[in-house]
Order: sequence, then structure tokens, then C-alpha cells
Amino acid sequence: MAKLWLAHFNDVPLALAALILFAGTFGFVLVWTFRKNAKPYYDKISQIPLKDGDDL
Amino acid sequence: MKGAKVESSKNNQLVKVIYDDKIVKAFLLATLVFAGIAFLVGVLIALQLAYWPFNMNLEWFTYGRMRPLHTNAAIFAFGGNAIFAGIYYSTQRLCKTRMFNDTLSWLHFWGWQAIILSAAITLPLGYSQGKEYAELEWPIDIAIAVFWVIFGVNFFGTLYKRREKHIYVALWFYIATIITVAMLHIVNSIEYPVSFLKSYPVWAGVQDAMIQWWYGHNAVAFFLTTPFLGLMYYFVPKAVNRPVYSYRLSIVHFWALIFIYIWAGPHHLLYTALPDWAQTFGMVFSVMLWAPSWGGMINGLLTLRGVWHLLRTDPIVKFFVTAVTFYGMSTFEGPLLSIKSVSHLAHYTDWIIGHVHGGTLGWNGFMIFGMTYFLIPKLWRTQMYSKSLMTTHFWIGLAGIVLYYVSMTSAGITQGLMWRAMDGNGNLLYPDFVETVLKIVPLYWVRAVAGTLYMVGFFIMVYNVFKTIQLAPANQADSEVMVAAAPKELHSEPETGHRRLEGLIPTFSVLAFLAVFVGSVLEIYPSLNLKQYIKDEVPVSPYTPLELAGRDIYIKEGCYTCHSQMIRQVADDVLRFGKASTISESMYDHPFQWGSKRTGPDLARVGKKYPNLWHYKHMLDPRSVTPKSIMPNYPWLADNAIDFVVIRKKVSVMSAIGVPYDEKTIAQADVIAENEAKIIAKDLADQGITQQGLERKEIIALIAYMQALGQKEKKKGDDNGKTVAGSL
Repeated sequence: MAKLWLAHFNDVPLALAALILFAGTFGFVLVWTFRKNAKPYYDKISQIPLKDGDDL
Repeated sequence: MKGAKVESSKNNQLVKVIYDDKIVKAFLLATLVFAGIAFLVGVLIALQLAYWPFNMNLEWFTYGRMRPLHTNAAIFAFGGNAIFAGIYYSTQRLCKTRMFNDTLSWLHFWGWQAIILSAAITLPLGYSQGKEYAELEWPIDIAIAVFWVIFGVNFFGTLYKRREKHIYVALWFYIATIITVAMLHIVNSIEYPVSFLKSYPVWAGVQDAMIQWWYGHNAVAFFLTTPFLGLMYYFVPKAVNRPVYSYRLSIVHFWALIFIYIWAGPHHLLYTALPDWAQTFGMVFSVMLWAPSWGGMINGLLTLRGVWHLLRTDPIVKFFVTAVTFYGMSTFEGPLLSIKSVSHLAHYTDWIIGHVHGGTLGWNGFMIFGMTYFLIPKLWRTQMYSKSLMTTHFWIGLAGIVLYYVSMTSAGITQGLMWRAMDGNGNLLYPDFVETVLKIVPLYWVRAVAGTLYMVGFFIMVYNVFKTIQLAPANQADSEVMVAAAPKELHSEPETGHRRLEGLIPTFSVLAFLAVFVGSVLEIYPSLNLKQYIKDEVPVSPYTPLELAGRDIYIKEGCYTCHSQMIRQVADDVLRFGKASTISESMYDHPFQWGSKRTGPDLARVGKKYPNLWHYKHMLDPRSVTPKSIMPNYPWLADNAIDFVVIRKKVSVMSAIGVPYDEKTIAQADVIAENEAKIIAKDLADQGITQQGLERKEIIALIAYMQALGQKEKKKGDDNGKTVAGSL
């Protein structure tokens, strides 16, 4: 089954490059975003649209 | 700088900012005008498919020309103007500053309307590049690029002079939109002009297919998704007066979405002649899109935590929540349709049409309606004229979408199953294509009713908006607010990583660009080298001059909106239409015409299948050879003259972009075409067609092209493919 699946990735360097790039980007974003003590900071930013001074 | 509009109040270090509301009003009203046109044309083409006489035998009114007008009006006029209205409104408030430059704002506005007007004139007249959602000809393409850059300069200028240190997540989505749409449009629009309103793309065959669907799918991603997600992240919290459910989730949503989306284009080309690795990539990355898309949907919906009761009482919240729900449904269905086995059933059918309209009517349309109802009272300093009319609009519109989606999905699955149905001996159960079309015509009527419902809901909104503005106070000034004089520090700790990045616009923008650029290069670059996929032992002849002229008529009439030219590598396609299409066969096709919908049969191997007379009769009255066909009549093809003089220029341009015509063919293209036309006209005359001057009519060129389809692979004993003239 695995062989059948892998057979479709018949350009191995391209497939590896794509998956490594994605995993790297995704991993970096995940680590930085969910790092310790980040929540209060992001909670403040999330208030920006609610405090734009234009709540007429 | 519009410094006069900023006043200091030194005591509390606040400044007065006057937002530019006039530009928002202008884009919002333009949205309503063009929505009406897009919906009217949509209902018209729905009726034309249900009952062919609605084509009226009018050249500029027929389905093949109206359909591109509908898609362009819906995406770029209705969607585009709405995006700009939302972006101009929210960017000023998120940055706590007026737009960078008022002149650029108005240049952008009038430039965009001029582009829309040009499209509304040229598309019905048949000036088309034959590439879906990219039909507009080269001068308009240049105008789009210019006014998009003006918009970008104005937007980034506003970010530069902002008074809010951090760029809120909605602005990230706008940044990705501006950068990526520019890249997609420019690359897909690299074309070689033949005349003022005619050009050929430099890309051909599989290259063009790959680039077109990289563009086409990402037009959905970066014109109909990312800007709307930005609007969602701004307007939904505003409407319910609650911050977004999880800001951290929005960050992951953003980066994962833009990185993955750019790869998904090849899922439009599954089982085609596209190299297998590209198809697999398209499918895998499409399936991966489930995660970020649903992360975004959940984030949008859970923003209502604690205030779900608003869904019962506030029509604006109804529109927003339903829009986000449709976003979730569409982004569940999209990856599902990208799985090869599902695509085998769904591709070329109305299931795709249902899927697309679930997204545009439900997600984009309802987001726009919600945003309009939110903005109109704020911009005109009043209340909406009627809340009950807003609720009525909501329910009628929703009924229209549901009916549309159910009818088209049912039609698509029905037809897909009929196409593949076989008996015990492996023969097709429904070999007659028109039989599978007639089965779903009743559902085309249901779709027309559904579209009408949606449009009626919209006109109720127009009336409501008109009355609201009519009753609003006169002589209104722009919004004034007091904001902190300097960029506001949100916290005193040193910043690192993504936190720091959020405040660095150029760095952030470059990284966002890299996220979409790297994937694009990795996916497109290998397919630019056609030689590695095309076998030398099966050379292909270019089109003869008359065939080329006929091909341009095929494009002009929008035949690709109903006919594919790609026999997929699946058993039922091969049984029905012949040998699967090869990558070589379309190698000189500028543009490719693989198509995306089969309202009529595939034409890749229609050449020599029928005599010239059959094609002649079929074009003038399809029902004379295929009873019950729903194809329009094309009587003007027998009246309009071929422009033989321009054929020489066309062949010359084709040669310049890599099609191997020899010097003699280029120099004598018009003469060669005239000789070809005489042969076909004589054949028709021998069979009783007595029209005077028939050899100079467009129908002859189109017949020449039809007869060439599937006939261009050279057989043993032919010359080396370097000359066309010699073979005539």
C-alpha cells in the first residue's frame, strides 16, 4: 500500500523539498506562536479592531 | 500628507484623524451596481442552459460570450469592489490613520471601474484569451497590473504611516492578497500581442494548463479567500463586539493557508496529460488545506462565544455566521473533490459548478452583504431603513443558495455516474452524450429558479440601502476619531520572533511572498521544460494557417466554456471519446483549451469523425444533426468574413513564441489559408451548400480547426514537422 502511494511521488527531490519546506514553516510558526507566556500578548492585539476609536 | 486633517491635542497626546469614508462609499456603491449585473447575467446564462432559445441567435448575447462576462463580473467587479471597500474601511481603522494618498485611492477606484467597463464591452464582442477568469485581452491586463500596483502602493503607504504598532491579522491577509494576486496575474498574463485586442500567451499546452490553474485556483485562494478572511477577522469581531476567538490560531491559519494554497492548482488537472508528480502534489496539498481552512472557520464561528443569541436577533450576524459556515463547507468539499477518485466522478460536471457557487454565493456573497449592512449605517450616520427586509433578504438568499447547491450537485453526480456506467461487457450504458445532458435539464431549471431567488434577495437589499441613504442626513463629513499620536507600544518587554516580525512590514511581506513564491517555482519550473515529458518519436504538426484562424474563432465564441479537449486517462473517457490525450498533442496550443466543463462532449478527437457538411449544419443549427441538443445556433459564422490578412501576423507571432512554422508558411499564411478554405468550401458546395463566397466565411475556418483536432500527431512517413505549407 505504502509503495503504491509513494509511486505517485515520482519526483523524489521535489517532493522532499516541498514537504521539508512546509514542515519547517509550519513548525516554526507553531513554536513561536504557542511559546510560553504569549497568550496575554496576543489577547491584547486581538482587541485592536474593537478599540479603533470609531464605534459610532 | 493630508496633514490638515490631523490636529494635535497636546494635553493628552492625541491627534484627530479624519478617515476617508468617501472612497469606501464609492467602492461599496460600485459593489452593488456590479453585483446586480453579475447576478442578472448569471440568471440569463442559467436560463440559456435550461432552454437554448434564450441565446436569441445573437452573436454578442450567446452563452459562450456571456459566461466569461458573468464570472469576471462576479469575481472582479462584485467581489473586487467589495474587497476594496472593506480593505479601505478596515485598514484606516486598524492603522488609525487616513489612507496614504487620496489621489491614489481615487485613481484606483476609477481605474478599476474602467477595467470593468472594458471587460463588459470586450467580452460580449468576443475579445477573449480563452483562459478562464483571465479572458481579458492584453491592454486590459496591463491596466489591471497598473491599478493593482497603485492600490498596493496606497495600502503599504498607509501601513508605513500607521499609528498602531502592530499589524492586526486582517492586514496580513490583505498583504498576502496584494502580493500574490500581482504575481499570479503577471505570470499568467505574459502574452505576445497580435493586434490591439488580440494576443497569444507565451505558455503552451501543459505549461499553459499548469500556469493557468496555478493562477485560476489561486484566484479563488487569494482573491476570493484571503481578502475575505481578512474582512472576517475585522468585521465579525466588530459585529459581535468580541475579540477573535484565538489570535494565535489566526497566525497558524494565515501561514499554513498561504503556504499550502499555492500548491493546489493541479487538482484541476487530475488524470489529464499533466505529469503525475504534479497531479499528486495538487491532490496532497489540497487535502492538507482541510486543516488551516477549518481552523479559520472555527476561529470565525467561535468568535461568537457568549453572544450566540445575536444569531437570532441580528441580521448582520446571520449573514456573517452563514458566510463562515459556507466557507467551512466549501473548504471541506474542495479537498474532497481533489481526491483523484472523487475528481474522476465530479470533474467536468455540474458538481463543480455547485461547489463554486456554494463558495461565491454563500461565503463571498453573504460576507459582502453582512459587511454592506454593517457599513451603510456607519458611513451614512443612520440606521438601516428596515431590519425586517434585511432578515427577508437573508432567508430568500439562503433558500436560493441551498436550492442552487442541491440542484447542481445532484446534476453533477447524476451525469458523472451516467458517463461512467457500463454494462457487463464493458460497453457504455449511455454512449450518446446528449442523453446524459437531457437527464439534467430539469435541474438546470431548478438552478435558474435558485439564482433568481438569490437575485431577488439582493434587490431587496438594494431597495433597503436606497431608502436608508435617502433618509440619511445630508452633507456628511468623514469620520473623525482621536487616537494616540505615536505608534502605540502594546507592552514594554523586548520583542523577539514572530512578535517582532508582526511590526516589520517589509520583512513580513517578503516572508509572505517567499511562502507563495517558493511553492510556485517548485511546482511550475519542472513543467516549463517540456522536452523531458514529450517523446521525440511522436512529433506533432502545428496548426495550418486556416486551422489557426478557426481556433481563434473557437476561443472567441467561448466554446471552451462547454467543451473540453482533454480525454482523461480513465476507462470511461477513453471508451467514449477515444485514446487518452497525450502531452505532445497540445504542445503548440497557445492557449491550451483543455477546458473545465462538459456541457457538450469532449472534442479532443473530433477531427475527421464527421464530414465537413455535418459541422456546417451543426454550427448553424445543432438540432439538425443532434436532435434535442442544447447548443446555441451560430448563424453569424456563415455571415462573418475571415480576416485573411491578419492570419500572416498570427502565424508570425506563433513562430516568435516557439511554434515551428517555416519562413514560407509565415510569408504566405494568408494565401495558404485561402487555398485551404477553398478546398473545404468546394467540398460543401459538392454536397449542395450553395452560399456565395462561403470560402471567406468564419464557419469554414472553424470547420478546418474542428477537423484538425486529434489529427496533429504525425505518422510515420510524414516530413519532419518543420513545414506546414509543404503539406497543403
